[in-house]
Amino acid sequence: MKVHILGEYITQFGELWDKSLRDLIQEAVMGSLRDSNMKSTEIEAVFVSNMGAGILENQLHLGALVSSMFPHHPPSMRIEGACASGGLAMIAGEQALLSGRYQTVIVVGAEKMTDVGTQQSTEFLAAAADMELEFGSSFPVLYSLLTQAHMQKYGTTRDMLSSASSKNHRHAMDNPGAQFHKQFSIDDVNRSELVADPIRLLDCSPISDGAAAVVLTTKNTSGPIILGYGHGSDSLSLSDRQSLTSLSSTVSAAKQCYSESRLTPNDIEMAEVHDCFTINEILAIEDLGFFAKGKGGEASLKGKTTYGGKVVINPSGGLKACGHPVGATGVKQIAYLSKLIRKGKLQVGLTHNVGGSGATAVIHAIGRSK
Amino acid sequence: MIIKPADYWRKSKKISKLLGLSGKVLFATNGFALVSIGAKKYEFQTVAGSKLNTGDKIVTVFRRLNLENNSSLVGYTLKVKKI
Amino acid sequence: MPIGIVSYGAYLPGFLIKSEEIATVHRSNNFGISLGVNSKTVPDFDEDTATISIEAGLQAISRLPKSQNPNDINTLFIGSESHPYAVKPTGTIVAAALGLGENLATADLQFACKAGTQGLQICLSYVKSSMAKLGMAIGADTAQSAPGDALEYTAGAGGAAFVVGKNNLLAHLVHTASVTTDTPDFWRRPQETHPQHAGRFSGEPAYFYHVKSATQKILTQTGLSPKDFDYCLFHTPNGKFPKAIASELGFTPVQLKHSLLVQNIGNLYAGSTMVGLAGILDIAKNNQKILMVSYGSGSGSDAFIWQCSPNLEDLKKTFTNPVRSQIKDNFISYTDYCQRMGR
Repeated sequence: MKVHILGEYITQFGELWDKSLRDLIQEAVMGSLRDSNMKSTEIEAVFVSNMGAGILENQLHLGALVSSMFPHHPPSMRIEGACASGGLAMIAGEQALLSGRYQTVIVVGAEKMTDVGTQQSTEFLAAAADMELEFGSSFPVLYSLLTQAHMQKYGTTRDMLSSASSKNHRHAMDNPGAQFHKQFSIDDVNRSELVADPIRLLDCSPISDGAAAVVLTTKNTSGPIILGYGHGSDSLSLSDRQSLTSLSSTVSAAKQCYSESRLTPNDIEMAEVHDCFTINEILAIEDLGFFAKGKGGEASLKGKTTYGGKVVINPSGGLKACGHPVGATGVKQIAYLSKLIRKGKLQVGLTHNVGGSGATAVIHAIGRSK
Repeated sequence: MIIKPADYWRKSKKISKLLGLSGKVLFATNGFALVSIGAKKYEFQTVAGSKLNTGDKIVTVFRRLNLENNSSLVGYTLKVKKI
Repeated sequence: MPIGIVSYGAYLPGFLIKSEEIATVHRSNNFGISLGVNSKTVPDFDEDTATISIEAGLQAISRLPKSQNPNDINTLFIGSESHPYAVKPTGTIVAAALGLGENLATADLQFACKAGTQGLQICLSYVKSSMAKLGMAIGADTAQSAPGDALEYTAGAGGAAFVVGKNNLLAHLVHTASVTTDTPDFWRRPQETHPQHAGRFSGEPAYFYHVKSATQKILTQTGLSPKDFDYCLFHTPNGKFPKAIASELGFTPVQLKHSLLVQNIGNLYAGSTMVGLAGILDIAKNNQKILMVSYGSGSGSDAFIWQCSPNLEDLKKTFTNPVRSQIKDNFISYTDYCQRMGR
């Protein structure tokens, strides 16, 4: 039994003043139902991905809130794993289907982040770190430490990091739903404001609003297929990691996913990876096996991660240029590749969704059904 | 930031074990550092306004958080200072 | 059985501001020069009386002889004018951070600049009465002053901690005596951020009367005279008053000079005489005798006579980071100073 994607929908990502969290969720749910040609009453269960509504909106019990949008109030739950919430919600939906309990479910991820100021959103995001062992940190700071470690061990350069950001902005020009439609050269990224040395402003994914939804089924054998998935974990704090130059959660999740889907890195044409900061794209393309350890930066600089290269990384523009409404990202990655498969532009793709500084990683392989 | 009394109370019992320990900076940026103390690694804020670099020798010190308002509990934490 | 100082520690924040810088900003005469204060210490953004007390206490504990157990510190008194709370003792915060355990009697003291030495007397009496094996007394402050006021040139930050007991003494207490009157030369009401002072009234009827009275009282009670001392230490609200009182009482500049850290660090208020004593112990030799007289506005003075141990130099040979080495040439601007003082 395999899980197929009946339909998908991604809202515009960006600073969406006229859309509340509920509006975004509603839009994504209705959009994915239309895309699936499904009636809302055909949805048997709802899986909601969201990190921040409790802190930013004082709204918990999101599963029930979304279930209320359906006339028959299907069973529902909210899943949270920081920025990996979307990937985890996908797993929850898939496992519910594969258990045989349900045949058709919806997974929706959403986040509303721009109603609060930068300080408050930075503090909210920092809650994905270990609040005791990493007290006083923020994500730019933690990823700065990872960047320094990679630069020290492998000689990864400023230009290599910037090339990932530059490339993602170029890719986003073809994604109407992306938050940014502006290109930046490597020099532009190099010269952007220092945030947490050596991380610069254009190394960082933005604060975004947005939602994405997919309708999953085991009833139908057409439509893009989830070929396999993997779920890896590591310590929440950096201080307890075995390595600062590899995310073992990614390595572990990738191994599971490749094994289940019977794929190798060479089979992957496109991958949506978790570039919350440019270093995380470099780490991802190494840990996913696309490039040798320590060579990710060089590969990025030499154009091997764009069209005409070895593998297209972040065709949507990634988190950097498409935007990163936290709870939506993992679902959007699936939805975006699913859309490309339907358009005949992709045979086999991979999504990589990370929580915190790498404590959680969820990887999906998605392909065209035969 | 509201400092919860029970949270303050639990944390204050742990501070003496890590106070006054010496170590070395592994990586540091913007007021935060990953340090090694003995065989273990820790993450700490750095004392106000200081800039640490990889390899710097540090000691853990007790410092005020300055996140309170006029009526709340005063918060403290361990930070690291270059020696 | 003698009682006295088993160990001590001191802490000065790492920044200084020159009185010349303050005068330039206020476009005034450099009151610092006329007060004998060239610079004063400035606490960092994340320092306060509790953090300073802990630094001093930690140094004192690190210098304890191996035969002495910090868990035997059964009493802790912290004197300050800048306790973080009006109600909740600094002592509990310090005790927890230093890992002193629950068998502890503590309370915070305030008596302006003599709160630290009052704590020292109390700890000595706990030890003398065997109510405590060891006691720790701390005097620390992040002194407040109104912008442009004369006090702004002198109000510094810092503190010292003394562990007192009956064994392994660095210096034993020969005698202590105190005087107190209701003299309103300097005060701060609860809701106010800066103290008020009574100008020249803080001199003769206040500082000079009480320091002189306490000194004369302790000398009379012990039958000692100024020539018997190697060092004299009088409270240093500025660089002028201690010189004047020392001369009036018959002490020489040589006896006084090592206590004049105020010229570089300013008046540390409740930390002042305590840090002064630490500074003298840093350089004192075996068997030397020290007179120490504090002054606290409101008013009162505590006088102590210390006799250094015959093996003081040996006992302190492993001590590092003495007071004078903590005075760094790390001068900041008035803008940086105001930011740190929360203005």
